[in-house]
Amino acid sequence: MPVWIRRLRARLRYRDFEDDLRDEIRVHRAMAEEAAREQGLTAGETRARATRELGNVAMAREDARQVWLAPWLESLGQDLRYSLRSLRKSPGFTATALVTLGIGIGLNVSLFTIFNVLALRPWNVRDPGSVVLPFAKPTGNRPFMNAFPLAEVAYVADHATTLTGVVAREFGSGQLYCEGDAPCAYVQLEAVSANFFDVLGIGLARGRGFHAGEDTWGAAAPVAVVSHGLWQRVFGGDPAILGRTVAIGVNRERITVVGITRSGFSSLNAGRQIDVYVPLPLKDKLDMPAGAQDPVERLVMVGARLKPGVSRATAEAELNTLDRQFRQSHSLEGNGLVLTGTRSLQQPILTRQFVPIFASFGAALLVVLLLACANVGNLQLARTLARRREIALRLSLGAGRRRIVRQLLTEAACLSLAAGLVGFGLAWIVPRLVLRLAGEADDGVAFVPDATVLVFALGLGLATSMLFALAPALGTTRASRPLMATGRIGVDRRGRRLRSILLASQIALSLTLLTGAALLTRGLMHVYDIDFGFDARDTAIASVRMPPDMPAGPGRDAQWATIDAGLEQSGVGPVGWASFVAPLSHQCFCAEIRRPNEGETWNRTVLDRPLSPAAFGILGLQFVAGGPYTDRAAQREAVINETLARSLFPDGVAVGRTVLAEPPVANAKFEPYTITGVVRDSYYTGPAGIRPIFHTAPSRRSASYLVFRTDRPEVATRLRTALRSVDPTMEISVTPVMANLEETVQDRVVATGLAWAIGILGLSLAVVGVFGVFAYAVEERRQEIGLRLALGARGRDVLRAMFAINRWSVGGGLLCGLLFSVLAGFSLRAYLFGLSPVDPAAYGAVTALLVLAATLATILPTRRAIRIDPAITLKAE
Amino acid sequence: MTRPVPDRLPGTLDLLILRLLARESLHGYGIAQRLKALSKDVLQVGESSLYPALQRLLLNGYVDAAWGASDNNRRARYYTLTRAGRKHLEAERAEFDELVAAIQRVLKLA
Repeated sequence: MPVWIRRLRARLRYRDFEDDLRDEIRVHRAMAEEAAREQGLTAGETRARATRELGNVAMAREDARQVWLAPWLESLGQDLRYSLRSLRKSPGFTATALVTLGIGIGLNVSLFTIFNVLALRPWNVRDPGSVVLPFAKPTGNRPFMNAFPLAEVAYVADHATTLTGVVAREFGSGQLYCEGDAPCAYVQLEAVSANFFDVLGIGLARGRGFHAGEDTWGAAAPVAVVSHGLWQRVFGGDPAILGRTVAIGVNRERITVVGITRSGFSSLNAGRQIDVYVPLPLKDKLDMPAGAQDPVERLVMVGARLKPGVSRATAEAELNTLDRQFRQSHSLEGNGLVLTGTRSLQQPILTRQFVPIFASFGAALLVVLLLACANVGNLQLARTLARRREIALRLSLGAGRRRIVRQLLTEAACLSLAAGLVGFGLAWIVPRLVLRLAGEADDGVAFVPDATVLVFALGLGLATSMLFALAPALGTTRASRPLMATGRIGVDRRGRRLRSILLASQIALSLTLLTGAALLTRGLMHVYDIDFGFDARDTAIASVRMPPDMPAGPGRDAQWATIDAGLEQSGVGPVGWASFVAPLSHQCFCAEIRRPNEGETWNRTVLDRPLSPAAFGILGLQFVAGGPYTDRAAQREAVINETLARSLFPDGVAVGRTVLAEPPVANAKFEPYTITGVVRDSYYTGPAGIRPIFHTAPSRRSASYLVFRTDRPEVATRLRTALRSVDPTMEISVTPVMANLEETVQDRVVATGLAWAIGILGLSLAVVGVFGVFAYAVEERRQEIGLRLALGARGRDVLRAMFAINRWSVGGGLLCGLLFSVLAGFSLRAYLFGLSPVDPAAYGAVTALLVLAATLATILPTRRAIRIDPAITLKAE
Repeated sequence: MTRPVPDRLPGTLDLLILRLLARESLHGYGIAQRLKALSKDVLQVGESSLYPALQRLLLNGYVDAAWGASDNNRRARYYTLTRAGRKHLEAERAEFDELVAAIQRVLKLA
């Protein structure tokens, strides 16, 4: 029988064990005394000799017992029981502390839950540790990319010895048509190689994945696997879906459903929901063609599984060799590749995107947690002070200081671990609630906590217990105060200093949070005051809505010709047009551009803003070199802004030179464009920043906006007449250009709202803290106040005295808070749209708010004390 | 195998108790008496050493304990050597002999 089982048995049958041991030693002693008596000694001498020979009974029993039961475990058990008892005896404190800490920890754990799902979780497949992703190293302008030519994927799959399988994938989307060709859902597609489900080990609830060969280029089988979510949502969970044919995409391609993924799985990437999986070659039939059909040019995303026992480094070396061979045989540029795991955090591209956002929110929520700790610390301090007598007694009886501190910390740890569990519970609700409030759909990806999050919650709980309990515990156990002096609760100097520090930090921290929120709000308000660099305030757009079924082509071109003629005849002069995107919008209608002598890897992504030549003048876009192009879309001419000119032609001369550009339209290819002019940098694409912009002649095939100055409203009227003459159903809607700022503001509203929520939470915690501190201060001075009132002081004088007590900590807190706020302001600069990080309005408003709140929190307890009849106070001494 | 020289009693007390119990089962007082007698009063062990040692042996399963009647019909707890205890005794004894021989060799030859 192993040792620990014996220990357990002794622990369970503790009483018997104790009795046995006691009896045994008693018998031993009795026998010894008997033996001594036989030798003729007196009773007294017998006992003395026995004692001498046999040693200290209590120590013997203690030592014997300690062999079985680890002493530290015993004392820990004692501490726990005592802690639970004393927590139960003060339910008010326990409840308050639990709620305060629970919320503080819960918010942090919720954020960590989201972070965990997005960044830390590997792919939701079988044995994700052996799945790797290759990333092509940066070349030219291209960053790390998980994109390789389809032909290379085939080459690697054939020659790699370190991998059991290579999968290729692409994303797409399209309209799904169900019974009777009625559109039933807009679905997200993932086009994959045939071995996708097998290699990755993605379980299917029903049906099958794809067979080998079903992804042959040019002869792909028209099959599909749908996600469990889509099956439930659109097909009602009908098992007869297998084998049924549906239609997808612009060409209403018919495909047969052959499988359904298991429930809970929708996609490999967190935050993305995939409804339908099809074989790779089908994507071009279902979605806008990717552009390149040649397998050497067609880039796909790649994943692979390592053979068992093969290390990532070995596979990476082999893949680099194969990659080099492939590139050499096809004369392609490249720098080699790296292999990473499937966790987002491990991949070289994504970290840049969301880590700063998480860092900002994480910092704010940690501040809230600190505030909560300060509050609970104050409460804890008050409680520990009330137990001073007991602690002093124990110290004088010989208890080690470490032992008592350990007991106090155990109590705090119990509280915090319970709060950690509360926080963990909150993490089940809060992330989804926040996402729903932010308007994001509840994805197939569930932001739910897992074991990692639990460990984080408990760890955070333990850390907070150290924060709020260590200082009070150490302070109260200092053995300097004699027992007698703890008659009544007087003013405790060390406790007061600690409380002042806590108060100051609470004020500082909540000031910082509120300032952050205020700055973000002022930033949003400031959006409307920016100097945009063009005449955004004096222009408006009339958006022309073409009837939806009108097909593009010669019919529409003829209609536009009529409209243009009508406008010209009405004598409004040159008319400005913008197509696809309105001014001040930041939509990525993006083109790829490079110089003619550069390789593909040097492509730059720029914002494409087609404008007619007259529009430049109307919008007030100033040329620094050259001029606009002629108004013929067929002629490939373009105007770029200064930022793009600097990037393309650092030597300074752009006008007259050629670039290769691929606009974002179907079936586009890279064509040469001649630069006819360079415009001054402006915030044409929105207040968020100055981006490289590429202007070409507008095509009439899609959304068109007539641009006109607001002091000439007749332009819009003439347009309406011209349109009506062509087709009475055509309509226009006129909006000022500034209205497009709404788009940017809307994006930020949610984040700002969250910032205010955090700020208000911080403020409430601070107010509660201030209230607590002053209530305690009033309690401390109850007799003093009673005395003063009895001696003739007015209520006002007492109030003034109370304010004066904590003036240093409040003042210090405000100063520190202002300092932290300035730091926060500078770190938030990117989100402020040019507002100064030391905007006086924001700081002033927030400081005033905080001072007001603190004053109220001070007055309330003081008024209560003043109201009490001094006779009662003094009598209670 | 080299080892630091042990204190008089702690590790060796276990060995002595096991050896005594190898002959017959004894209760605690009996062990103390026997030890004192056999060693001609050199080795005297008190409760505070004896009982922790006995508990250690119990914990490790080298001895069993049972309540029984002593000579003068007093209720006492008797300890018996187990098979594991016997094996441990032999191993410990061999090691002890080796240690003592080594010490003596050094004393003689140094």
